[in-house]
Amino acid sequence: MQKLVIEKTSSTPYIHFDGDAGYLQIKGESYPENVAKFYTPILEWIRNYLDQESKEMTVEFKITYFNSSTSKVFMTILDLLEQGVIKGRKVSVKWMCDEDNDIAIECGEEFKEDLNQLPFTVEVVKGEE
Amino acid sequence: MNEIFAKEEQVAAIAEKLLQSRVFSSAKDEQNYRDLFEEYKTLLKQMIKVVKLSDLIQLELKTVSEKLERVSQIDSLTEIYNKRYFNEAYLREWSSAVRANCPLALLMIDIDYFKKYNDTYGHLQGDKCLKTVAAEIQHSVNRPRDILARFGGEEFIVLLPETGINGAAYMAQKVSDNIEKLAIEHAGSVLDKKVTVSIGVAAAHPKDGDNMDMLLKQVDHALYAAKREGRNCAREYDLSQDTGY
Repeated sequence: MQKLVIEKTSSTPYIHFDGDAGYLQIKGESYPENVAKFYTPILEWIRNYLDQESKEMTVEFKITYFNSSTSKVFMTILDLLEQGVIKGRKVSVKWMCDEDNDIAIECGEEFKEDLNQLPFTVEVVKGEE
Repeated sequence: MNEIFAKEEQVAAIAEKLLQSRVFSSAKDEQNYRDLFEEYKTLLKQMIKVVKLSDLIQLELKTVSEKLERVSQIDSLTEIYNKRYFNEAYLREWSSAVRANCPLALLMIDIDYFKKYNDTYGHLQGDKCLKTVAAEIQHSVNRPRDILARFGGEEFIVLLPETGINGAAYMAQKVSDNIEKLAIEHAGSVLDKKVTVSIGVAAAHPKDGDNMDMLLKQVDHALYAAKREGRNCAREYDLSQDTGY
């Protein structure tokens, strides 16, 4: 599958999809004016990837700030990934957060709480940026 | 958290009952209904989570914004209010004085020969001196509504609501005496080799439509008079001495 790279803006995160490596990274802040519009291609990509490929998939979130609409989209993404796992795909999610960002850590734990099948780890890292 | 979703819980309970009562006309209908209900439960869970996450983030934003507001009002060196906060407070107290028909006063306080102090002891020691003087003024001016702010480099301003010229002059003398009592060594000062302050004093009984900058000008004039007349003293604003610049 083709790569998908979306550069970050002040209100949207950096998106990096590497189909060959089975790797998706979402990194930055997320409060787009139109959340649905921004995330539609990404949701499409995930759906297609899960349908067409059989490789392992790793999804890495490194989000410092996000709004309510984004949290809804993240849950949709996690739901898609969990459906993938239920259908037998190997998928894992890493929620990376800076050790100083208590809220990001707490939000990661909240996302994790509702997942049954999808491996989801909260990784606290020392601030780099 | 779940109580705010009581209606949703109620709907779920009704759906559950319907499924148990086996009122469906066909197995297919029942399955469709069951699938929809599962979807509903998932989406409800998501909704509850979105609200919870939003609350978390909003609380954090509120805390940060309160912290920022506090920081924006405080002078970082002396930890007393800054000029921005003074300007807000002055406007508020001026309007309040107009409404309540009562006086208000200002003290403008300047450390004598402060440039020489910095030249003699260095800027770090100069900063320390500013902090000590600020703390002493704060200590001397201690009624709840009085406001002390750093106005400029070595200049402080005190806002005294509901205070006339006599009360303000009394406060000024108290501040001046207390600073002198600190006996901070100042080899560059001709005034007993100690840190002292000059203070301008002005008061007004503001009426609607009066210009609030006038009192600031007056207290500035009074400070210059105190400087002119030998420093280490407080002077009240005197109209006859006003050069009207």
